Amino acid sequence: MLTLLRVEWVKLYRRKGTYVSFALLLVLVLVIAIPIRCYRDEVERDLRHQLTAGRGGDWVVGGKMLAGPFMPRLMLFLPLRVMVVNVLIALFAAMVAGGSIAGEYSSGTLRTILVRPPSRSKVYLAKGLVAGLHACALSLSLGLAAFGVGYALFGPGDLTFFDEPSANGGPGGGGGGSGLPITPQGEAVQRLALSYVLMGAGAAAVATLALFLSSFTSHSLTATGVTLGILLVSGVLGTLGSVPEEVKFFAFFRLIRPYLLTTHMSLYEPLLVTKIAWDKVLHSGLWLAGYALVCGTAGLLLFRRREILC
Amino acid sequence: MEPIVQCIGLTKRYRKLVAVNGLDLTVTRGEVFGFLGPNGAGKSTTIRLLLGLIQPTAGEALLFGEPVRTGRSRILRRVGALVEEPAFYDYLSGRKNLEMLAAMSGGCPRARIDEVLGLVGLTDRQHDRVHAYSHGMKQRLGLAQALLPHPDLVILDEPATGLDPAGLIEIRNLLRRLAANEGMTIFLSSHLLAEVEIICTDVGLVSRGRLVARGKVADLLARGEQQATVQVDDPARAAAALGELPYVTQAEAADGLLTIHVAADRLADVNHCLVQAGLRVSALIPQRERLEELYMAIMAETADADAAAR
Repeated sequence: MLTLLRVEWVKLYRRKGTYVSFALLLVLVLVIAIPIRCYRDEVERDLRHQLTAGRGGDWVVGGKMLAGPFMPRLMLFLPLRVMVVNVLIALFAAMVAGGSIAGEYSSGTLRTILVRPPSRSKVYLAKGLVAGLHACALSLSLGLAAFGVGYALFGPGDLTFFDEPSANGGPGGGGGGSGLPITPQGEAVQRLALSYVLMGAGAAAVATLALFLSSFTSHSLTATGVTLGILLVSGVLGTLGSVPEEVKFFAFFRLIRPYLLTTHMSLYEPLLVTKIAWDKVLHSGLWLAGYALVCGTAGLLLFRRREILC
Repeated sequence: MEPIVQCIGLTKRYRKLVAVNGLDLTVTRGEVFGFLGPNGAGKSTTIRLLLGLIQPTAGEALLFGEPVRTGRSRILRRVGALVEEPAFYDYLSGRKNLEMLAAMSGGCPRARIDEVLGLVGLTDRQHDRVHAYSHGMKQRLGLAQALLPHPDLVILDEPATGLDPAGLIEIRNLLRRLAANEGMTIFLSSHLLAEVEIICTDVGLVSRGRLVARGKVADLLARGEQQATVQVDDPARAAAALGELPYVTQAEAADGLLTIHVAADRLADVNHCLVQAGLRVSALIPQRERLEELYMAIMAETADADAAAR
């Protein structure tokens, strides 16, 4: 099994294209961070204003408003993370997992592998593990890039950032407010680092979905495209389900929202509010594990029976 | 003789299409077996069934006396295979591809990789990426990966495709050497009948998924009647004399020569008859039937039989 893992690892990381996704994530962080650095004074003034707005009286806020943890936190800010996590990282993870079987099927290399002694189950497991680890690596690399660029451009300091009540009232909700809390640097780094690790779990679940689709499709683009399609549909349904309860028309979407993959991909969300709701992290973690188990088992069963005609 | 490859009533259906139709075939140890047939006859499907890439609809494929269905991993440790177009990871070097495939086959020493690269004439290009290889070079690499684990059985599907004349001769000599010196059993399908005739000890002809002829190449070529050219002092009188013999079906004198069609084992009787008739025979030259002619004849007979059955 270790040999198979090593072979899959070599196949993935000897390909230059694999590094393009890591490079794009770094570029994305830079593209966001550099203008903020250029307009640093204006951004700090806005943050100070947010911090004192509505509190009455005259406030004088001193100290550093923009510091290293700002960038990794900004990448997880709600409007941005939908695109970054649910689309970009999901796409990169799905491309690798989707190509893992379907891509090798269409290129004929799957045939070359499967006339060798390792069982199909072991081959599938090795591909799944490597695709999952790669998805985690993508999330961690985004975190590393955000931390690295953040500290390089803004230096050390505490985190001053808008508090999020929750992502559309999702599992991360509760415990938050609508202010601008200041989190000490040590705690901020711990919370953010753990958030990126948990983001990796969400990306790994996406990878198992893509691998499942890859186990019976003949082209990697099909597996990747369908995975993204599922995520987008799931995201749309989840958004409809997060509309306030007064809108009765969306009751159905509220009903299905807790079961959607995208709902639980944000399992790190409770770490971004003042009071961490660990039960919600665990709840979403279990849902992701369930998704991975179901997709993994179904994909394995299909792959074992698959006719290799290409 | 120990049976190495056995097909027992092997059948593969794709909806209404019967690709392999109750195939019964045995190849014993040390044979160099040529598996012949027109496009769509079921050759590649049979090879895929033998390697467990697809599952039979009925019947059983056995290698080394063990059903492929149940003993695939054990069996494939003793098999080297090249199925249709050789497929490799083209962003890796030829050598790296072999190293990975060797690892999947249970590992083999570096010296063995050097050896097979030398056998197929790729030593000088081993470090080039496969995408820079010509089709013929990929074919050689395909052969190399099949020989890597030092198999007892080599299954090759169209191994000569894309090779230049020098490459054809090298591969032909290599296969003969492997069979003669290393006791490998070789099962190869090919369209190059002249090559098969030179390389193979035995052949099987398959048409519409059924085996229509099977035997030693020499025996099959000696079947039925053959053509011979006779140099005799009076061809016209000789034609008349031979025309009365039951085993001579045709005797034509032209340009000072006599051309006859005679039962394969009766050439000596022809000579005796001519001498008895007082004719002076200066040469009796049998025109050896080629495998190509035999193939065409058998395929025509099969087509006639199929038409009559309908």
